[in-house]
Amino acid sequence: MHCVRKVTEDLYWVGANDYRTELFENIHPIPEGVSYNSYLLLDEKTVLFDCVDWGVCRTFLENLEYVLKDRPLDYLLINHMEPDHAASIAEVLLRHPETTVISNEKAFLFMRQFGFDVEGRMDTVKEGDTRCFGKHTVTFLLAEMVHWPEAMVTFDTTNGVLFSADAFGSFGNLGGRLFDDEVDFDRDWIDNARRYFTNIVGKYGPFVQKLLAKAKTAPIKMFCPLHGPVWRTNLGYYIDKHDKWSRYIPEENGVMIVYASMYGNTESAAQALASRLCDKGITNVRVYDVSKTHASYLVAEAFKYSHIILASVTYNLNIYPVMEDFLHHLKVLNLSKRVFGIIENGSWAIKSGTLMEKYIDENLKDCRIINSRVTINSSGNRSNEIEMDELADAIVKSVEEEAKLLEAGEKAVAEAQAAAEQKAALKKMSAKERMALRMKQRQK
Amino acid sequence: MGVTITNEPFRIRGKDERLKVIIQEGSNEANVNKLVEVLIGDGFDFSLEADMMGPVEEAERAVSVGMGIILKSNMPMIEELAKSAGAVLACSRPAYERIQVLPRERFVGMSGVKFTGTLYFACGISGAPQHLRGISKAHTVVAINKNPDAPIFKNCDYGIVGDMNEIIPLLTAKLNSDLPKPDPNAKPVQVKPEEPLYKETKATARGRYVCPGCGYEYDPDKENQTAFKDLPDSWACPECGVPKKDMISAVTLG
Repeated sequence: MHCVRKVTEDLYWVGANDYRTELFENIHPIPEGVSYNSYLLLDEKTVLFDCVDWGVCRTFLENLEYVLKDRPLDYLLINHMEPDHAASIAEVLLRHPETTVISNEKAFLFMRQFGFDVEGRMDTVKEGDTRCFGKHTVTFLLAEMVHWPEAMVTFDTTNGVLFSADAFGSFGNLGGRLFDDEVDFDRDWIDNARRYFTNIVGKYGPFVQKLLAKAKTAPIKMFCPLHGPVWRTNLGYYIDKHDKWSRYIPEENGVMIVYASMYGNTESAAQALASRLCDKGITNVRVYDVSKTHASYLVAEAFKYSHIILASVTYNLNIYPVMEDFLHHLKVLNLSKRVFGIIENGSWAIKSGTLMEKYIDENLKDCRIINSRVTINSSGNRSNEIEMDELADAIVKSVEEEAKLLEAGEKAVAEAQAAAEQKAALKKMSAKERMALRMKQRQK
Repeated sequence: MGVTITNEPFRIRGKDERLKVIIQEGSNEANVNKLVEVLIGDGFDFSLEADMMGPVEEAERAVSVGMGIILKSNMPMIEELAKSAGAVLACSRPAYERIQVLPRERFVGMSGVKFTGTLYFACGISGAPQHLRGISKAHTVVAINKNPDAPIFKNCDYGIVGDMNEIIPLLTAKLNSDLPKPDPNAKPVQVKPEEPLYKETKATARGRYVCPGCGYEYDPDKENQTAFKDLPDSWACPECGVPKKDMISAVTLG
């Protein structure tokens, strides 16, 4: 039974939803599933944009054949070679010996590495090349390290559709609703989207920034990503989120408290801090048990909030292993520019606080650590009450300062971005146009 | 031979920055006189009074006693000193556990309360790491101990080597005598100095470059401080061979 949707004139979604896979990339839990989006363009030539994971290949093939009817598949265009999209290439090529594969040199290299026979049917493109399929002409932009080196995005200059590969994707199954205006994204999807971006692409902020700058020069009307909804209405909202995530700027000035507790004493301290913060008026606070929350969720929250308070017991004279694992995730995903606070506990030699500070100092870029530290010996006592008040006061002060700094910083960034765009626009103009613009500005 | 003591200007003193001055003026009395002179020079005013049974964790000053006291019956001597110094009473964990000189909430250390005030007299306290954890935020630590090798002397600001049972009565008497007032120009050490809100950290995106072929990050800190721009044009990514010119800055706006 087919399951397809029309995206826009000539273009169809022929992908599939996956509710069965427990762990995406065999790491990240996806309790709400994921979609693998594949798109079919019916022009004078037929073009399939990317494929799907092997696990949903049968549904995908049914969809493809349904939309294709009896037409040949002229082209298979591959933007990204990761097997959650590319695994079905071999099957499509077997069923369609007439198909030519369009992709870039590095992607073809990967196809050979993964064992797909594409010899004699390759059309290799580079950045800025174009291909015309009849009504529709597409051009290619490399999206290196977003989040693989061969990744590219394809822009349909005829209708403004950007086939954005893994950029602008999300975890979560579609359940029929394909477009951003068919769902309440900010309520139902944003957490999945953040968790997808930060865990999959988070490390590559500078490359995402490069791609966003490139994308700004194209009149994009629609994002067709390889996972999650198609964007045709509120693109600015989603670009802004990606801009913040890839610059490592928190979305919210708030406090995430992550605790590692063996017998509940460190947990009590974490909860005590949270209550104090709320009492003092900082209510944008979230508390997480590092042992019970998968690191992918914690990473996403760490990207969301400005302040991260780590409360950890000492374990074999080290940081509690699960907490250390969380810190390792933050490091390899390049989380930067956060304010940290420390609560430590231990029963004979208390080491976790100093070790967590050392880890942040050496590995997490452009962060600061609040000086006030709570040091607990087994369970909280009267001295800890005072330390806790001091830490809470310091966090309140820091949250207030950060609010001002963030606002000023974002204003400066917006000005810098506008200036860069203007410069790029000027570069594109002819000398005559530039002159006319200057005259106009002078008259003002 | 005495160690020359200069009047330290008021400053924030971390636990790793103790002055470690051992006062050696010849006699116990001379040492005590010198100590009091130095403390007054630092701005301490000994005409102030305090409730000696006030909470240790909130106190400005504490007179703390260790196993050097030998017997609980020697405590009145300590109480006299606390009264004269405007301090609360405190003790070490062994003095609490073994001879119960004071109730539980008065022992200072990792497992006890933390003293974070300005002046701490460690009397007959050897200075085990667990005890030092409880005074790491104290501004000035004075140690009196008969063992010159006691670790407390490596973790104090001013020390007198000698028997506390002889020195403490001398110190009490000196504090009770007609003392000069602290220099009004010296900033008084009555208020706990404020710590800066943050510790800055080393790791930064500045100076780092990332590779579009594999994500490798060039960090000058790990490459003998060689700035990326100073690398030869022939430099290529060590992981995947992408040329130098294609690397991009790791710095993001904001």
